[in-house]
Amino acid sequence: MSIVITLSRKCLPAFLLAGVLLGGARVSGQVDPPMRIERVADPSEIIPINLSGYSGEVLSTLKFDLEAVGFQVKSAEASKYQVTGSNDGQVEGRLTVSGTRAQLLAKAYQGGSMRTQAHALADDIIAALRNCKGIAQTRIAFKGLTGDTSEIYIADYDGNKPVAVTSDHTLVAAPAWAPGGRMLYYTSYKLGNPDIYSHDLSSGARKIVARYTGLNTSATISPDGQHIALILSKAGSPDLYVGNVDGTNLKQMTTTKEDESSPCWSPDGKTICFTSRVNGRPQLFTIPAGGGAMKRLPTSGVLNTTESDWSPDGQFIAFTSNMGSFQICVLELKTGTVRVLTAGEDPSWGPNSRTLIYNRRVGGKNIVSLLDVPTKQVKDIAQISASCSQACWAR
Amino acid sequence: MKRSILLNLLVLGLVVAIGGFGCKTRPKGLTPITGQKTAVGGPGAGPFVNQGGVGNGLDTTGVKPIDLAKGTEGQTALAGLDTFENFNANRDVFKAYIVYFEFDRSTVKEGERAKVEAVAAYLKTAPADNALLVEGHCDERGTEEYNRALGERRALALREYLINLGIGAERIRTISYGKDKPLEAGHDEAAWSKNRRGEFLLLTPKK
Repeated sequence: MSIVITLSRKCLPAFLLAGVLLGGARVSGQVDPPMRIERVADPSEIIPINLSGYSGEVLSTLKFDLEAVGFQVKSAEASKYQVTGSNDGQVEGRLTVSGTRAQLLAKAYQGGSMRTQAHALADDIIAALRNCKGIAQTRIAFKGLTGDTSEIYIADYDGNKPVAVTSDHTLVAAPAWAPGGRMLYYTSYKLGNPDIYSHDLSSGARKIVARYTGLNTSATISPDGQHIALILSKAGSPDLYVGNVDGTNLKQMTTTKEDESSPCWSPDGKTICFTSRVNGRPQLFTIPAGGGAMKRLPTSGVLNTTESDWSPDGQFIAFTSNMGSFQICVLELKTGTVRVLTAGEDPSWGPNSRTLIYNRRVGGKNIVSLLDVPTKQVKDIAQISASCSQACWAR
Repeated sequence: MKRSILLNLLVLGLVVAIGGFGCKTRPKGLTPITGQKTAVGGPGAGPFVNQGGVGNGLDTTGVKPIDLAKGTEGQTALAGLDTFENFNANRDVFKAYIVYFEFDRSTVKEGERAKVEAVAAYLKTAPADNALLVEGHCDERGTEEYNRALGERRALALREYLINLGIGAERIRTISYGKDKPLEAGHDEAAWSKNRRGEFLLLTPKK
């Protein structure tokens, strides 16, 4: 037993460094020997789980994080799994199977805030049961309305601590992250025109990436961080362009007379999906990122398709359809099947290729919510009280 | 969890040390842009008033004025933004000539053409250094970026119509606001039909 402890201790500095580099000061503390792995095979299965021993912010954080990925927090009797622990000075938790009481996880956390530790525990529980990447410590950007003007905000994925990144008292739109989460791109009317900016979040430094006459918008950065796709109208109608991430060497990709909009990159960087109204109504198309012919992407009877986003695992394209009202839809590329999931618009995938962030209009304002695609479970982000939209997930 | 306290302290120390460095990767106190505050009016001010160019501490090395290029198939490229610097914009002149569009369409309807013709007629007799800004707008039933592009397409359709009526391409600038600036706040066709529009603003050079 003592040898095992020593080995664990030696691994800790590496563990700490890994934890810190992953963007949080949270640290996994004492780690027990590896537990039995039991994963829920069906991603669409809602998992009832009980939390006991937690209180306050840690409890509400754990609950949110689990519900965002298709769990439901229930009484002990009604749950398939139990998380027992405490948050007295540090967050600790043991994950067991109800009934057999087989232990799947036992961890304690140190460092960061109690909230961050709770997120870390949630990520570990989800990894043990769902076989997907943790999203509990990720970040989002979005556009927040402030009266007649709007600003770009960033926040934790659950809406915690929204921070305004701009303060220009103008109109903004279309925030997009560069991979790595340190640079944001967005459209701003600050100089009297919709122009695209890059914004270094650590220094606050901004650069203009595109300021041509007419429209400059819908910036999206390639997964390798080297290229940008965007919409410019300088050639006479809104077209898709691709260039270097600093906005140089732009190449016109589409030459239709009608408007193209909202491009997104495939995770391998080889294809761009976008909307075009070339056939009269908005439809999805793909085009090779290096240039070539645009090709219709069929969406199986679902019409008026816009604002696409490609899942990081490459399997799905989420988009908005409008057949009387906005609906979040997901196209499975392998089969061509489209699922119409929930009322709302403008989806953005989380790094787990399972959760979407999107917005919908409720009582006169836009609210941002999370959708667990396999279970269709929705979790409203109550922490953001302003009317907001165009949420974009850092991946 | 029965581990020795000393080991705990060591770990804690290590955490604090590394945590201190790690925290540098988190942005602290994000600083919004501290540009000079140019007094050009509140949010109601038009977009045409150039706020001292792009010299508000922004790096503009990537920005080059775009030459007026030949259009293809009825599309006429736009003149550079620098040609539209230092103008005043007047929305009142053409207030009666707002052009309305069908849902999801950018074609200038037959019944709307007289308004565009009136704008063209005015410009033909206006001083040559007067220019025009065409704003494109949408109703709320499109998604945001899609509407930003559709609004621009509407403004460009009006611009093309004016060019075909003999107005110089370099005199016409477009700007889209998507669905950000509705004229009517309602959620019915009465409001939507008023929001799907193009507006004309006369640009006169600042003295």
